[in-house]
Amino acid sequence: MANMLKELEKLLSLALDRKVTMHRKLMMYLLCLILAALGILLLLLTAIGGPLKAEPQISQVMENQLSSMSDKVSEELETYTGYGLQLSRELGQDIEDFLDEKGVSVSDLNDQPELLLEIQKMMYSELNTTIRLGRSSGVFAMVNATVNTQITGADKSRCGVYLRLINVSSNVILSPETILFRGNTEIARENGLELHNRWNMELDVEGLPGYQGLEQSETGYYWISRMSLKNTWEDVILLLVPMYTDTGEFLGVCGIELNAVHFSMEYPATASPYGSMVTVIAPVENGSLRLDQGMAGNTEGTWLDNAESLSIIERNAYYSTYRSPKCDYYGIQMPLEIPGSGGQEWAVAVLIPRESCDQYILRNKACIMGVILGFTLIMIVFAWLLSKKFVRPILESFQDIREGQQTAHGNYRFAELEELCRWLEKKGKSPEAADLPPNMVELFEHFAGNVKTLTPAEYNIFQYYMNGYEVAQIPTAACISMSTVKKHNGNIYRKLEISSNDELMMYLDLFRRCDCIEKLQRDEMADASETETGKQMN
Amino acid sequence: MRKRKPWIYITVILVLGLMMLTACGINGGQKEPVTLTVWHVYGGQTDSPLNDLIEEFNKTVGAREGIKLQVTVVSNTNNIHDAVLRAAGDEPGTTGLPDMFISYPKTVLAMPDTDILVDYRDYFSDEELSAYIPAFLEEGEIDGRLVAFPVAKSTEIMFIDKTLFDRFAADTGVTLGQLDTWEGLFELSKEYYQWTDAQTPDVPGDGKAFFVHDYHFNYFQVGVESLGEDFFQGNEIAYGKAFSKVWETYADAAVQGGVWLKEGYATEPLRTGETIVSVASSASVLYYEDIVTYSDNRSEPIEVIARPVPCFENGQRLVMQRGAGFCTVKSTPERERAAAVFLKWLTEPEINVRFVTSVGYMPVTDAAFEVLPDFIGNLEDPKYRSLYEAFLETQASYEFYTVPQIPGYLELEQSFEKNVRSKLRAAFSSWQDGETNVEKLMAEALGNVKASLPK
Repeated sequence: MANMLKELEKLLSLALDRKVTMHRKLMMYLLCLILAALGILLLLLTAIGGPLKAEPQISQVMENQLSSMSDKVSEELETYTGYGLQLSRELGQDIEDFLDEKGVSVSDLNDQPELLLEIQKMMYSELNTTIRLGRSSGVFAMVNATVNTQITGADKSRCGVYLRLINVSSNVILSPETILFRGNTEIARENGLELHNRWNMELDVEGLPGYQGLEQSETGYYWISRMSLKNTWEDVILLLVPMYTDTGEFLGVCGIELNAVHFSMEYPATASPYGSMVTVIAPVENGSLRLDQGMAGNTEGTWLDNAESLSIIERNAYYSTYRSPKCDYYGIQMPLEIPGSGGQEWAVAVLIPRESCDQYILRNKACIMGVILGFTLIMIVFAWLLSKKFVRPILESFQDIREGQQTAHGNYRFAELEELCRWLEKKGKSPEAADLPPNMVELFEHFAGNVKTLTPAEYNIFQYYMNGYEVAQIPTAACISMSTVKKHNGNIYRKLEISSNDELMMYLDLFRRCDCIEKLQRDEMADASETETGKQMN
Repeated sequence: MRKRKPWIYITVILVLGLMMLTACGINGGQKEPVTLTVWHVYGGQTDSPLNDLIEEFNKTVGAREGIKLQVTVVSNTNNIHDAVLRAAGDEPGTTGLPDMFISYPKTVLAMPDTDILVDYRDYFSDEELSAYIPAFLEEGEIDGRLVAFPVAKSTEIMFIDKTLFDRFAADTGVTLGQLDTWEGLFELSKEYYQWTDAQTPDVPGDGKAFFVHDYHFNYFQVGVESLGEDFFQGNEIAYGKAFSKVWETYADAAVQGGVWLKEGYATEPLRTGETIVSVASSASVLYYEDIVTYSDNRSEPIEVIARPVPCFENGQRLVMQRGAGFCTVKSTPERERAAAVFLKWLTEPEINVRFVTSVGYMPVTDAAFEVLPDFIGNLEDPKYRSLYEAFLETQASYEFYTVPQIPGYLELEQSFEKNVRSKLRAAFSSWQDGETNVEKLMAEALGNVKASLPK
C-alpha cells in the first residue's frame, strides 16, 4: 500500500514537472475569459428575462391546475343540473297529478294549508332523495302559491320546502343529517328534522333574480350568482329549474344549492413553490372576475377574500394579473359552460398571490444571477491568476535574457522559452582566446605588439583598414594625398612584418573572427596625449 | 513589480460565495398565512357574531402575525358533538377534524383518544392562566391536561314570550312571580293548556304547552341536587325522595299537556307560538327572534324577556353552568401557537366582553367581568339587556352546578332525554284519549323510563 502511494506520488510529481507549453497555458487563459464572457451574457439575459425566467414554468403549473379544476367544477355542476332537471320532471309530474286528482289549478292552492301541506310532503320525499343522491348542500322546491294571501308580503312568499345539510362538511357520508330551513313545521316533526335557527315557513322569491320571468314565460333553468342566505352566515349559489305542467302552466320552481363552505372544502388550495393556488368560479363582467358573486375554493395560504371583485390589470404571454382592493394575483381563467341568470357568463380561474409569486421569481432570478455572477467573477479571477502565474514568468524570463542573466539549463517553465534560449546560446557562442591554438596566440600577440609600434599617423591609416576601408578610399576619408597613404602603407607593412595589403586584410579578418579585434585597439586618450606631445616637440 | 497581498483574493472569493448564498436565500415580504379551520357553535346557523370577530382578528392580529382562521362549520353543540366524534373516529366519508373546534368536556371524554388534543399549558404561562376564572379552567381539564379552553361560559336562563304571557295573564290573573318556583311554573303550565284549549271551543284537545326545557336531564339533575340529594349513585341515577319530588312536579304538568315534549331545541316552539316559556342556555338568546310565526304563516312581533331559572320552594338556588371550550388538534408547533394567539386575543377583556355580550354568554376572566357592567348599559337590544340583568341576578343569588365527569354520562344523558320525552308523550296521549288517572300515568311513565335506561 505504502509502495503504491509512493508510486502514485512519483507519477504525480512527474506529471506536475512536465513542461507546459505556452500554447496550452494561453488556451486555458482564453478559455477562462470565454467562460467569463459567457457568464456575463447569461447574466444579462437573466436580468432582462431571458431563457431562464420562471414565468413559463408558473404558467404551466397554473394551466395544469386549471384544466383539472375546470373538469371537476364542470362535472359537479353538470351533476347538480342533472339532478335539478330530474327533480323538476318528477316533482312537476307529481304536482300535476295531485292537482288533477283534486281538480284544482295552482292558483287555487292559495290559502289552502291542507293541500299545500300535502304538496310539501310530496316535495320532502323527492327532495330528501335528491339531497342524498346528489350530495349537494341543499335542495328546495316551491309551488307558485302561498298559505295566506292576506298577510303583508304574500306576493313574494311561496309555499315550499328547503332542506339543507346540518353540516356541509359531512356531505360525503352515507346518510347526512338534514335540517328544515323552509317549510311547514309538520314536515320537520314527521321526519325528525330540526328547524333551522332562522327557519321560516315559506320561501321568499324576492331574492331570486329572474323568478318573475319564469312565472311569466317558459324559460330554461339557470344559476343565480352568489347570495347570502338571509340571517345566516352562509353564502350560496342556486340552480333554479322551473316546473311546468304538460300544458305549459307554471307550477313553481325547484333547485339545488351550492354552498360556499362546501365549495371551499371540495376545492382545496394547492401548495406550489410559487404560492398557494386557489380555484374560483365567478361571473365575468366587463372583463372582471366578480368573485363577490362567485365562489372561492379553500383560500389557505392566501389573503383572498371572496367579497372582492378581481379586475385584470395586465396580461402577459403566460398569465394575467388580477387586482383586488387588497392585493394582486396572477392567474388564468377559462369559460365555465353554465347558464347564468340574465345571460351572465361564468369563468373558472386559478389564482396565485402575486406577492409570493414575485418573491419566487425574484428569488429564482437572484439565485441564477448570483450563481452566474459568481461563476463569471471566479473565471475572471482565474484568468487573472493564470496570467500572473504563467505570463509573468515569461516576462521575467525575457527580462533575464535581456539583462544577459541566463538561467541555468532547465529552469525555464516553458518549453518554447527553454528551446529559444538554447538556440540563442548555441548561435551566439564565439571561439574564446583561450580556445585558440598556442601558435595562433603567439602570432596574434606578436602582430598586436607590432601594431603598438605604429606612429599615430600610421595607426590612423591602420584604423581605416580595420574599419573596412579600401586603399583608394583613404585619401578622401583622411584628407591626405595618395602618396602620403602609400608612404604610411610602406611603414605599416614593414613594422607589421607583412608584405601586402591582402596579408593585412587576412590578419584583420582573423582577429575579427576570433573576437580579438579589441586587442588591436589603442587607448585613444593615450594616443591623443601622445599626439599632443609630438606636436609640441615639433 | 508591486506585490499584491493574498488576503485580497481570499476576501473577493468569500464575498462572491456569500453573494451566491444570499441570492439563493432571499425570503423577504409578508409571509403566507398559517390557515386554521374552525368549527364553532356561536351563532348556530345564524349570522354568527364570532365569525365577525374572526374576520376582525384576521384583518388585525392575524394579518400581523400571519394567521388566518377559516370557519367551516357553525352549528349547535349537538351537531358539532356528532361531527367531532365521527371525525375523531375516522368514520368513512368524514373530512377529519378541523384545527380548532368547540366542545363540551363530555364530547372530549367520548373521543377515542384525547391525546390528539393540545394541552394549552404548553402555550399559556401560569401567569397568563391566573387571569382566568379557575372553575372555568378546571371544567376544561381532562386527566390533568387543559384541553378545552374557556372563551365564554353560559348558564341556564328562563325566556318568556311576554307578549303572549301578558295576554294569558290578562285573562287569568296569573303573574310572572309564579314563575319563580318550579311548582308555580308547572301549575301555570296546566292552567295555560286549559286556557288555550278553551280559546277554540269547537276544537277540543287543541290546548298548547306552556313550557319547554332544552335539557330535561339538566332539570332533574339540578333539581335533585338542589333538594339536597345526590343525583348520581356511581354511574347511575339515584332514584331517591328528591327525584320523586322533581319527577312528580314535572310529570304532572307534562301528562296534562302543559310541557312541550317533542324533539328539538327549546327555541323552536317559542318561534312558532306553540309554547311561551322556556329554560335553555343563555346562549340561545341569539335564536329567539322578535316575531312569532303561526301555522297560517301569520307573524306577530313579540317581546322576549329573561329571568333566572325557577327553583323548588324548599330547595337551594342552584343553576347549571354550561359553556363549551375550544379544543385544538395537535399539529405543528407553528399551528398550535397560532391557535393560542387567537385564544389569547379572544379572551382579552374588551374583546371577550364584546364577544360574550353578542352571543349571550359570560366572560371568562376577572378583568372582563369588571368591564361587563359598562357594556350591559350600552346594549341596545332590550332582549339582551333583560338577559344580562337576569345573568347578574343569577350570579348574585345562585350557586353554580357543574356536570360531573363520569364514564357513560353522555349515553345516560341522551337516553334519559329521549326516553323521558317519549314516555311522557305517550302518557299525554293516553290522557288526551280519556285516561283521567294522572298519577297512574305518571307512575307508568317513570317505570318505562327506568326500564329503558342503560344499566
